[in-house]
Amino acid sequence: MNFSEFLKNNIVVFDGAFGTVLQKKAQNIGTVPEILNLERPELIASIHAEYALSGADVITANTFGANEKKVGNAKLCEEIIGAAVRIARNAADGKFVALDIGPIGQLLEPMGTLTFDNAYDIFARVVRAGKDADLILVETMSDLNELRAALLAAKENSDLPVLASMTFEGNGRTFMGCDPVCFALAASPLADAIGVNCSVGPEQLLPVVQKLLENTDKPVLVQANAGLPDENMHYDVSAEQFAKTYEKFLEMGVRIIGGCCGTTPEYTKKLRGLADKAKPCPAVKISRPAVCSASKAVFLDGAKVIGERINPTGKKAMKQALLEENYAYVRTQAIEQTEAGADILDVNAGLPEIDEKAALVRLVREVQAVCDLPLQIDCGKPEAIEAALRVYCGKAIVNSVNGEQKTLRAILPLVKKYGAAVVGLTIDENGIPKTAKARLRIAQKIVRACEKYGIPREDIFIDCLTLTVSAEQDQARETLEAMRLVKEKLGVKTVLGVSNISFGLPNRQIVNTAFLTAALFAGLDLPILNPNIPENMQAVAAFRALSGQDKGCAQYVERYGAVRIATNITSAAQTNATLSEEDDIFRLIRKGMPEAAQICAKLLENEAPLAVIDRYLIPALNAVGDDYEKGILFLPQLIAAAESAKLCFDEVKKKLPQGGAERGKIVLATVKGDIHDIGKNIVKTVLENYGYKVIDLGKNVPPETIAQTCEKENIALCGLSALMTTTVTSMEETIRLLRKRCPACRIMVGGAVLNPDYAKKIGANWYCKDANVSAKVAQYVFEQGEPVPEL
Amino acid sequence: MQIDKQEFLRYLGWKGQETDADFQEKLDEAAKHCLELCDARSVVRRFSLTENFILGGTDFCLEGNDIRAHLAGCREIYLFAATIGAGAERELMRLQSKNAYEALLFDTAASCAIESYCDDICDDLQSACETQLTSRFSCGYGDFPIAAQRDICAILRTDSKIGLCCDEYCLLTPRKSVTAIVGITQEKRSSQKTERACGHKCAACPNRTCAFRAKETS
Repeated sequence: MNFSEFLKNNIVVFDGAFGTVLQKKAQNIGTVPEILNLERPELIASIHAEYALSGADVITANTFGANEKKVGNAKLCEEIIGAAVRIARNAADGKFVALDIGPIGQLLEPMGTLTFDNAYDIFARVVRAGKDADLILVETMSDLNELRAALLAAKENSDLPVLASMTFEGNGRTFMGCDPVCFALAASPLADAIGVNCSVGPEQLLPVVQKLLENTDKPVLVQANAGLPDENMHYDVSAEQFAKTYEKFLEMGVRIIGGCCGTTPEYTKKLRGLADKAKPCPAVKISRPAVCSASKAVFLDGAKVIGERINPTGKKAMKQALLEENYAYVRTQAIEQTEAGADILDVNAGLPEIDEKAALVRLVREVQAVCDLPLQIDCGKPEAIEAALRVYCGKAIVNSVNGEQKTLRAILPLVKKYGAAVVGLTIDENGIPKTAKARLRIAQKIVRACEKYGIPREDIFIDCLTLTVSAEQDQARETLEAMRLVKEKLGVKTVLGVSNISFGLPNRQIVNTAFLTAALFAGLDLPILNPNIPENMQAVAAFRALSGQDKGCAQYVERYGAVRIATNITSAAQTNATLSEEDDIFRLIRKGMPEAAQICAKLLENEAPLAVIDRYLIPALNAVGDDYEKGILFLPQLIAAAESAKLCFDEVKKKLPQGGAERGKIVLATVKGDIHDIGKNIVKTVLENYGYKVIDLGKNVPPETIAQTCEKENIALCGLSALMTTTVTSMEETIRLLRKRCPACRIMVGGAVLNPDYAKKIGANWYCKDANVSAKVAQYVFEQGEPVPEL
Repeated sequence: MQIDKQEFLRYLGWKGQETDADFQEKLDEAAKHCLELCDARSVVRRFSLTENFILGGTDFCLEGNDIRAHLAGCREIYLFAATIGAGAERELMRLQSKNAYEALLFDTAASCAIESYCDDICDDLQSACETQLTSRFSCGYGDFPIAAQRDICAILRTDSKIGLCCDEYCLLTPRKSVTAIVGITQEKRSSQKTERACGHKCAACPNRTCAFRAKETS
């Protein structure tokens, strides 16, 4: 019988801790205990045999840390893994052998430097080396993204069943902040069982396990620690107490049981006893529509807002940002929409001029780094959708399929594989039907197709499509009616972009708000809108209160209880009544006050934009810079002034053609090997506020990327930062490459480990002891300031 | 764990400049926000130390004259790793995309928090130990190589125990984390309380030009 069949009809007992027992038996287990598979196979075998004798159904091979990053060598890794599986097989005849896969030991991007693809490759090699096992156990994971890389590697490089287990803390989350609901939603589609191991004692895991059971259709496993260790590595939960809690786990519906740190064969015996008495319980999953990121699950139990800003269609600034790969702008948009109250964010990279697949992947990564909202991947190209789903860490929405057979066939298998939800547009090869009933028919076809691929109804969202009321007036009502029908007949969730309704009309928001409200009452669950427009969010909040979704109007009161909502449209420039004439721009910038922008807007009424820069902003920044140099101001004050000047620059830019205020282009990067980028970010802020366009390549940037960008953009000044001694060599290498590839580019360097001598030695033109000096260098290079002597 | 106002200001490069109430409020907010997001965790193990500076039960040898001088006479040590967690790190990444000023304050507050947390750990170890402990010594101090950080993380299994990793370049992630060694001397515990925060170590540090160097008080 193979493991999957066995699991169907039995409670499965796993063995207990390996490290704990090994530690006791071996004098020195070194930093890589898996090497003992080659050096002392008899010792490893004896531990497996003890667990087999105690009644474990599954023996976990000693491969937990056998990955090339921990072992240091891929070839040796393969040997270790091959040996481990053989030892387990021989020591425990007739038992199932699990290939054990633990975390790589390095954090993935963006917090660490390991890429998702790199992690996938490492896991794939482990999986292939362990092909003779009966199942694969991916365990003790804390980062959902790393877990996903492992699961995909397992599924795509082997036919063995795969179990996915994470470790949770007392606060109910993993170290990386992953929530059990998110884990269940995102990992269940990629695994044959999910569960928890390690963590804290079994008792504290009860609520976590309950959440897993309610949110997965797969069997659930529990392998808890025997409590917490003291300084001498003694654990505080006895085998007796341990088994007591496991009785509860089995009653709740857990199907696979075992032990982690601190447990011994004695614990396994107890679990064997429980398993022999118990019968597998049926699954207790609660079917309900939900999407999630790694740390935030959004249940679609009422109207939820999908923010539409990260989409270049009809948005000049976003289009420009995508063309220039200015992802800082994208991140700002993500943060703004989150703060405005969006529940989900749409990401779309549909620009004919760019590589949509690459850009979509980048969008997903950038947005995930700064925001915890679930994402809607808005794209029609299967290849780009799959690439985005691979790197998306959670359960996404794919927007969209439609009634065309070809589209359904290409995209639905991807939706199924990655366990996403999907938007179906009520359009097909013949266009958008004019009647609500005909749109319902397309929706029915989409739902049938989804179910054929095994996509449950709660994961299907239908879009009945908004048409422009000024062109086809009767269609507004048809859309609303179609939505009502779809909800009634199919019981699926609905999604709708609302702002198209008012195209061509004046004061569009008036129509948008009315249509949005009407749509919500017709059954719209997921409006796609701009959450930065207060009227949109007000309409949704009001609807939630009126429809009873917002119980006791509590959320409404919380959100709007303490604010005065203006009833006429005003702009920031008109609300400066409180500022007196004496509040000149110099003082406000120096004090770092955002109100400087209002004064700037006023100045712009009478003066040319470039004159405002030259007469006010630059002198104000220079004065602040001088005071900083003299020690009259210190760093936070310099940065606050720069942030305030930035708002002024934004006002000036509004009056200028695209790029008209640009005083020069500068590339900045924290070099390869270094992830400490606060200094570089400070320099960026200051330079941007002098009007320079900064191409920020981020942290841990390879020399090649820096040289390539400087070459392509014809850069005159490049700034490099490094914090650690270990990365100065990487800076030196970057400078060497830049000299070769871009001889005209001059280089300034900075960072805690550098000094003028060192900077000179590695070939830089300038050493900048702080951000202020970098601004002086820039002004000199772009012929706007005093000479700054080179090293 | 706390965020000491003086330390906070010192890390920000404050040398007596005039500040206003608004700024003080921003500092307090940043400190509070940071502490709310801290999920501080640590792992500590006690090891014997051979004459050749190898940790008992491992192959890990402490390289460098400075660490050896620091541990002179110690036959045992505490090895520890600590982090304020991924939540604070994520918030820092978010703030860096949002507002440089807030990011600077938060980053600095987080540095204060991890240092203070390490002080707490050392205080706890000292109060549970009969003999005097040395001050903590981290990789990268003097000639104790950063590369040792990888061994320390492996021995303490920091990745699965506290979510702390060491990357290809031997840097810790999440960034606001520390690994350190505390020597267990054979001298009787001194009644004098060890000074908190890392400022007291400045005098012994060879980096004379460091911007954060505490003023010499002699």
